[in-house]
Amino acid sequence: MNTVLGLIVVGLLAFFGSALFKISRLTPMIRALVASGAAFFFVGVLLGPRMIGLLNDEIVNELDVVANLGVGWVGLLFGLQFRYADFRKIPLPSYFGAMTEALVSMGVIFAVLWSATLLRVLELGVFVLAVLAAIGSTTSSNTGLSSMQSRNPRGPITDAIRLFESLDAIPAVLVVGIGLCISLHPTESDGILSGGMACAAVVLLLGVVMGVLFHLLILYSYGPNQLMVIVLGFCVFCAGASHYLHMSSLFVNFIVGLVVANTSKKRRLLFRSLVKLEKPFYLVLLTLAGCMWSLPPISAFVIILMFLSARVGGKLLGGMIAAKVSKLPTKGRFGVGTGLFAHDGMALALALNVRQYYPDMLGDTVLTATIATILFGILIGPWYLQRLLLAEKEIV
Amino acid sequence: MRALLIGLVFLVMLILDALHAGMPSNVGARSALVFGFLLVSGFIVGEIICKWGVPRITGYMLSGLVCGPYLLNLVDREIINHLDLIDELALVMIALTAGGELKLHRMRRRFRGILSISVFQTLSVFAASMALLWSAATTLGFCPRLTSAELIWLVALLAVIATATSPSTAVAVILEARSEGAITDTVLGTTVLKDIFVLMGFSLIVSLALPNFGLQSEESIPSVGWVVVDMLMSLAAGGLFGWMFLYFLQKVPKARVLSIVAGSFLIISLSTTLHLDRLLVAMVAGFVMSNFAHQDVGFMRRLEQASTPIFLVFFCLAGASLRLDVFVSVWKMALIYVAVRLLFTWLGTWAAAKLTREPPEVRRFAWTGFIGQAGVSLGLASIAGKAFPDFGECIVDLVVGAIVLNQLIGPILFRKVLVYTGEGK
Repeated sequence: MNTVLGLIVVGLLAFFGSALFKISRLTPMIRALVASGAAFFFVGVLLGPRMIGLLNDEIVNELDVVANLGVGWVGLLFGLQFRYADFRKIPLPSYFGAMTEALVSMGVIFAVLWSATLLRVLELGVFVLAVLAAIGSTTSSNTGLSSMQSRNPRGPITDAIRLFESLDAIPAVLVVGIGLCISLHPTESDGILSGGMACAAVVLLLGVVMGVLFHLLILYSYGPNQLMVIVLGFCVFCAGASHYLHMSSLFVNFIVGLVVANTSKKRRLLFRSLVKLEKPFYLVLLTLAGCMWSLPPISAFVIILMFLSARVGGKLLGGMIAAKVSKLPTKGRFGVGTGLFAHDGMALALALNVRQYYPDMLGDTVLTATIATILFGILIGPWYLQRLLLAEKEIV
Repeated sequence: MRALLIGLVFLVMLILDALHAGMPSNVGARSALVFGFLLVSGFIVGEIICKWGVPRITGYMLSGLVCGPYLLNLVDREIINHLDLIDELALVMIALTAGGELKLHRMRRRFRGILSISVFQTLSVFAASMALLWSAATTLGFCPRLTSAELIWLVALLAVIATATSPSTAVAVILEARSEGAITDTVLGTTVLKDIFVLMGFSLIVSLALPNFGLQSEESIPSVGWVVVDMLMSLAAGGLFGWMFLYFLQKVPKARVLSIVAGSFLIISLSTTLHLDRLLVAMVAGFVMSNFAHQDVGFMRRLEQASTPIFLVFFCLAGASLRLDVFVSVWKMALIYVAVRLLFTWLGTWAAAKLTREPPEVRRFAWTGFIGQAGVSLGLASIAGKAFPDFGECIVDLVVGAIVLNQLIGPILFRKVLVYTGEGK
């Protein structure tokens, strides 16, 4: 029955939370806090076992399945956005720019944290380094350009940032997906999935097979309720299968989304069905993340501080090189780098996906570092983006 | 094509199980996997089967039966128990739907018929089941270790359980057929009213039988008086909840589907805390929300949106829970039990409908809506099983055997009738 109570609390929070998105009188900072969902993370922390304990450890463990579903949902939604036919319309330099930005940011974060590890300032394994680098390379669209919609930004820099925001999570999803395979299925483990690459191949195969099944099923015509059942069914089925086999549900669902986006004529309808529930789902995810969060030891704060600075550096360098690769007419020294500090949903889903399998210090460190960059992004992201767009005369 | 798809989905599930070999088990992860698998496989089987004019819920149950512990064992007992929250949520949503489908203006017209059918049918099924089951039990040697006096109490309990019907099955078929009309109203109203009679009758018989076996009433078996008080309190709580929830839905127009799911959880939580009958609370709440709204909040439409996936998994799990091993051991007695129940359900309904001059279609066909048996009957059988250790096993086995048959026959017949009479599609 405690689980029921937990679901009620989380459900009501999600409900009232999604209503908050509509209130236009909020100050920009509060709006960013609400839009990024960070406020719901703190509510989760408050209700969770570490604070007032309304949702205790037992409930939180039971609700882990819901968190997994949320992560899968994010993956499916993300995958559905990438259609090859649409991709072809993107000029190649812009596409290379987006990938360069993501990879350079990832590389910088990895290099900084790795150097610290070599100098024995930190003690981190390659897996954690890769996960943090991947998470740090993503950019938020909610607290990024979307927060400036009322000012109607327009121009090549705006377009480039919009493209970078939507594409730079692809390498991150791949790194975390394959990283989880390698770390959870070492070569010496039992079973068919032993060896990270064998597991990664199974992930790929699973995603493709599920995607094809999904596509075949939606070939028939259905009413909106039935379509929702299929979407929900495949989302839970794939997320459950990946959790069951110790894989990244985000990665598997991303592949499913990718397959459906490229094979089905109903991709827009599916996308709309998923988006309809996006906000409540996202807030459920955040509240649960708050409940699951534990304060890591003081030593972990060094990692978090280094991660924050490495991310800023990575984004600046990534933005600078990406601007050159994309041949963007920027005036600033760092290209579009200063417009890419915002951070939220995808990063959080990646961190939660890792924490599912590492509910110890490692998972908490990754989650705390992610939350720290989200808050940092909320504080400085919109301001720097606004400055960049003003300088480039793309907003008034 | 869909047949090929269902084969592929089953194959994927079997491969996933094979890949999992050697890994530590995680009930939560497996439950999520099974939930998704049931949603997909149940949906496909439901779609295949509805092309043959059979209701989707039969497809869902068949899908569950095939995946269940007695055939493919893709859904085992541990997972079924772990997903009991789905059962609770589905039952509350079914009760909300049943209450919502009861339209006051239509019920006013039918009340005399509903009352008389409830009384006649309950009495006729009870009396005939007692007489015929007693003769069958002595002839077939059912539960042979019991004395004649003990056998009478066993038969009395079986007879009262035979009067119970499954509101969930009736509601699911009505929703699927989108039916409206005299039969629909009569079946819904009677199912709700009969539930109250059955619970009271069951409590009465248990309290009369216990002293004959030198047993004392356990806390879990309430007295008749307590049943009445409990029902009155549940009615009041349901009314209050309905008004408050309706007010909430009218004032907060956003995310109503999510609100309805949260509201259903709230009913489960409140009813458990206050020891109320959650089905009655939900039924009255649904009735209030559907009949007393000043502005249209689209309650039924949104409830249907929220409940579609839940119902699907609920009926798949119900199919997976059908104990085929028990059915095999009691099938002769179960056949008689089902036949007697069918015959006197029809007779009771026909006589009462004729007496109150109900329309001819109600007289001829409404009885098909009362064949399905599920949760209530199983719950009563399990209470009786615990209360009477001497013969409890015989009751549970026979009721489970009968449920297997009734759940397979009931929905198909009822759906056919709704389509035939033009009330449903």
